[in-house]
Amino acid sequence: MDSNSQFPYKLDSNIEILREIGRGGCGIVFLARNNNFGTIFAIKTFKDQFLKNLHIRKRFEKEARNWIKLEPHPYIIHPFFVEKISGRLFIGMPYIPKNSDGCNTLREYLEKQPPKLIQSLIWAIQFCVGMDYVNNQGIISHRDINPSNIFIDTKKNVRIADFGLSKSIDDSTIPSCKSIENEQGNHQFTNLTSPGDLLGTQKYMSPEQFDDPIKCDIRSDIYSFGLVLYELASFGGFPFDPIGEEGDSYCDPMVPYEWRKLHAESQVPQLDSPLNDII
Amino acid sequence: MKKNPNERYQKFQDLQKDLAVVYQAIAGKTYSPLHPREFKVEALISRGASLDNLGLYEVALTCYDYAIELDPFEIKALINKAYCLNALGRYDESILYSDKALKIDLKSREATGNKGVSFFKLKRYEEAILLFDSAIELAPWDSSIWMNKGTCLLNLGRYEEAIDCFNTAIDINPNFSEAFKGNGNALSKLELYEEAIENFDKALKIDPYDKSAWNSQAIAFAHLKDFQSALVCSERALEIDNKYCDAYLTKSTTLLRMGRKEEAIEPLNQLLKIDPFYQIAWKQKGVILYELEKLTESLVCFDKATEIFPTDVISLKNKGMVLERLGFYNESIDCLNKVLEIEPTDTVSLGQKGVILGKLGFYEDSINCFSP
Repeated sequence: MDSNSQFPYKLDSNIEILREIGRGGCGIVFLARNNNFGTIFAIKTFKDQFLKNLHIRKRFEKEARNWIKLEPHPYIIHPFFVEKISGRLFIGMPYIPKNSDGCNTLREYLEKQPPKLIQSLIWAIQFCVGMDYVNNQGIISHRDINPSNIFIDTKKNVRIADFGLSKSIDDSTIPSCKSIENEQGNHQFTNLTSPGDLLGTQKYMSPEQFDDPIKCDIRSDIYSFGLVLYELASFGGFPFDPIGEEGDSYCDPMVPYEWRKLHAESQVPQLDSPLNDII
Repeated sequence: MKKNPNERYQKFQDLQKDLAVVYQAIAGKTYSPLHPREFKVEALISRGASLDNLGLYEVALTCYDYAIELDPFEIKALINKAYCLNALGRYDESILYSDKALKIDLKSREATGNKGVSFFKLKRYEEAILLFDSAIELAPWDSSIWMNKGTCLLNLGRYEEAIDCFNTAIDINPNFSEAFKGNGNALSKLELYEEAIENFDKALKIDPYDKSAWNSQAIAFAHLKDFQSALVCSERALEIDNKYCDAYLTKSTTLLRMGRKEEAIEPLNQLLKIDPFYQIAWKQKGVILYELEKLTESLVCFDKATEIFPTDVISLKNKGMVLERLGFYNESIDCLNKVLEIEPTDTVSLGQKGVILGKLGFYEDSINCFSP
């Protein structure tokens, strides 16, 4: 890749952009190397198409503010620099490399190497410790808890990422971009929302988050994590089936109403797992 | 996963406790999660720098103070604190910390550069340039130092030299929007408005949300009498920041130059709502109202302008003129006397005073005003 054409911003002269490693709703993540120290890390910025979009720029700045204000914790991916270059914000953060099976997120583990119960419990405890910590640091709700935002580092520890939709105690009402997970588990940008509009990944959103994301609190994250726990306990299963019995498109993932109905009305199937009562 | 939030776990801590119980039952031992790390000096500095970049300077200062407490000779913390103090307008304190850093490393380009910025902010441009020159010697590849030197030269009216500096900054970093803007401003001062506009265009292509670049471009368009483009640019600046006073002033001036005097008042009203002490706006509003023959309202504006800046000769002259038109001759003479105290050889004011004295029947005094 011609890094100059893809990444025309001059960061520190020692920083070399290696390649793009991910795209989210509004953001794009590059792999970078500090040639002075030989360290590899990730750099996140917003996509070029949003350079002229003030809402997205504010959204991204809010993410950076909420994130950088968090004090470091072993279960949180913490940015180690935030830089504004020519009006564009860049967040530098640790890069979590994939393991030999190509996994570095809980989603990938669930798909390729579903963890044993004991490992799931360790990760679940670590996740709770991390979330309790950020909650005590002023993050009222992450609002996008799902297996793609739970990284697993090389020491097999949980690292919670992506505070892009989080709500903190000192947040003003800044418009956000919808981030909706598609069938492949990737986030898709749909459009700008005003406060009160839909935010998050529908598959993991609590019923109240559909109604008003501004009123979400940590209990909405607990609901989302309940779904993640279900997936862990069932080795990749999901409590609701968005596809109807006849195989027709009973619940289009892009229709929030249908998703809300599933979350609000569907019964959670019993699991033959020690985690059943907790879920 | 209860549907009602009140029936769920209320805290992750509670959920963690239940998970720990299940873990212990299965593993036969307790699980001890990791604890938050103690902040190291390096992490504190890095966090402070990020907070700086987000404009959260007060919080950043606490990071640097803590880092300096842990290691008083950590030069990066001293340099960053100096930078932060500059951003907070505490320039003298900033110089103090730059000096502390320079005691540790006399060749620190960051400390030298920071000190230069402090002097620049204190309007001590010549001293700032000397410091930037030293910093350039240490790091000729640092585009921001060239940019800062260029800005000093711009403020000193040394426009060609400023352009040389901005161009060097651009050669080093072709996406340096501020340097293109600096070029635009210098070229505007040299009345090379077309070239200035080209440079503002380049700056705005890189950072379309630079309100001051839009405003400066508006001014350049207005000088070229392309008032429509000037209006578009000033409105763009106001879309980005509807509290940007300079853009309201530019919009008003543009409308005035288009002959749309009545419309030119509204941006000034909006500006003065935001900043009632924006003296130039009162002055400009006074002039427009005078031209619209709204003399009493015009007088109110010049009163405000002279209240904010009592020695502004133009406002005093204008106020004197309005008072004369309203028939307040003695008050008008008071204004003109104030002008003559500041500028004793101002022939226009002397002449005006002579005319008024004549109207009041003080012919000898009047003649004295016209005597060489």
